[in-house]
Amino acid sequence: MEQEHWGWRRRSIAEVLWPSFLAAAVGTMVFFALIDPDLLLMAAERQADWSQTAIYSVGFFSFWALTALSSGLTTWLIRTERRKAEFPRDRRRPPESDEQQEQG
Amino acid sequence: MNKPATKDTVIPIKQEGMYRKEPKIYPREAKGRFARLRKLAVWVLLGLFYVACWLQWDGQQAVLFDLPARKFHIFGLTLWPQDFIYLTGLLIVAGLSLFFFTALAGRLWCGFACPQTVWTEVFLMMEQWVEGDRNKRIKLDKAPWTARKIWKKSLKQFLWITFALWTGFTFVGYFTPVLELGPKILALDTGPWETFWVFFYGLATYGNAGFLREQVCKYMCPYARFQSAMFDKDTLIISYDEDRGEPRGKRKKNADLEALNLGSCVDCTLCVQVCPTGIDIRDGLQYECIACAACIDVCDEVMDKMNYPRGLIRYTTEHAVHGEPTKVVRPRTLIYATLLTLVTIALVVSVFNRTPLRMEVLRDRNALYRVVDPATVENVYTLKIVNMEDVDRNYTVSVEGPEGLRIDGDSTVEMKAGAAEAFVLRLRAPTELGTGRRDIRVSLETEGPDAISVHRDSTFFLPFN
Ligand code: SF4
Ligand code: SF4
Repeated sequence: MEQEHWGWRRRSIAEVLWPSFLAAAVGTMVFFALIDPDLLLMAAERQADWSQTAIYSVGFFSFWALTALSSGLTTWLIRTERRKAEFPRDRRRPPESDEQQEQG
Repeated sequence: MNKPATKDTVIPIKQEGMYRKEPKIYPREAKGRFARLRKLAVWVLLGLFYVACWLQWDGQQAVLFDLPARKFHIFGLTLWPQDFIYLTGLLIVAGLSLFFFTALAGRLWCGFACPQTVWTEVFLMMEQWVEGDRNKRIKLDKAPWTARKIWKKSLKQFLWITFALWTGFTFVGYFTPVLELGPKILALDTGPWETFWVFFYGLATYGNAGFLREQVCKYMCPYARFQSAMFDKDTLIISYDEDRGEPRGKRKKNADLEALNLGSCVDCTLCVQVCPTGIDIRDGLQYECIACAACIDVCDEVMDKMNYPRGLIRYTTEHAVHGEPTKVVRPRTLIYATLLTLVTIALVVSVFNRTPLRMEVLRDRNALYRVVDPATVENVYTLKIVNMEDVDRNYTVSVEGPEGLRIDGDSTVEMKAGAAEAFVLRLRAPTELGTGRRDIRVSLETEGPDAISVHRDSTFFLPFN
């Protein structure tokens, strides 16, 4: 129950999950407004043994997985970039990029 | 880089960058004008959410997203996936309103209307009710695990979890008719996904309002980050009057401020204790401030006690703080307001003029035309018709085009309420019309009073030679 430590790890998880959740909600809405799940089942040549709710739900979570993956990758890229900046000795980059690094 | 908060300790951890230790925030309850306003907002908004799914309209749930049937019922109006444009319009209106009100009055949304704030407020109320005020809560958390503490903590958790599950149930009630859902739950007979969503939404409520709270605003909320783009020097903000307040310090009531060289701030730190995001507004405007106005309420109370004028912390604008006039009407607000009005009017007009009937005319893909007999040529079409009304309807099909064009067969169709069906339409024309293509128009009209009609343009092919 304590919420004392919000290290970067927790924060990144939150920063990845929440916006991707919102994006997934919008994506699901647009997608299923245009496409009837029955058509999907037909296209997949499966018998309709999936309930509508199941399709919508799975659709939503697939979107979420995708958006979270994308956000997660972005976060990871930014973080690993920072790590180099914070520990300059590990940095292996041409010297001329130093200035930009300091300004950023 | 993480920006270390002024008074927090910063401990670097391994190679992982900075690690900020954040004390748990125990917001103190504020009483006053704005607290009352927020309570009102909480009751109204949550009331709407928890009650609206129980309302009935014409024998069915007034607000229902009927996913299996792909229809959205809202107070007698039935919207189809084809009406998605209205939802888009609604979202644009919502976005523009947010811009407009943010430009005008800052984070009004955050302080009074955001679900995050509203549900947190309710969770706080329960916490307060069980565990007592701020000091008691701090003491209780520090105290060893006695029976009393266990009892209080479990009671709080019980209330929170029950409320969260009820919230989840209500949420699902907007997708599965709530009157059916209730008995199903009691009989433990809900579908796996329904159960899942009740728990998922319940958990989200619990997590956001009971556990994460201000962290959502600080770290997760996109609005919190971009709202400053809508701010200018005429936007209402909550601000501490530094000129008046400083130098701050303790003093006796009716003490001579001149002699003591003190400002109005008695340094009671109440404004910090009430703050749900745990900041000190006296350090200036900070991005964590959700403009909940709790600090105004407590500070006014203190000012009253000291017989000082109210408003040491108050709603003001940057211009006002610097003694310049504040302009409510300015290009930014004008533009937002104009856009908002235009889109709203367009949306309302189009919803009310919406024809609850749809038709598509598709040409037969296999043959452009067929010569039936030396005098007659035929084209075949598929009519896709959607009766979007909640009553059964009979329609008449008619065509306009070159002389002699006529419908072969029955020109009336019957459709059930809310049905979508395809029909074959055969059109015939005399060959003496010549060669090439002709424009035609297919119309569909209801029978009876308050007739509605739609039409679609298509082409009719005559023989090529
Ligand atoms: S910062 Fe975001 S989550 Fe917090 S109250 Fe404002 S809009 Fe809601
Ligand atoms: S500083 Fe902002 S968030 Fe904190 S109590 Fe005041 S208005 Fe609310």
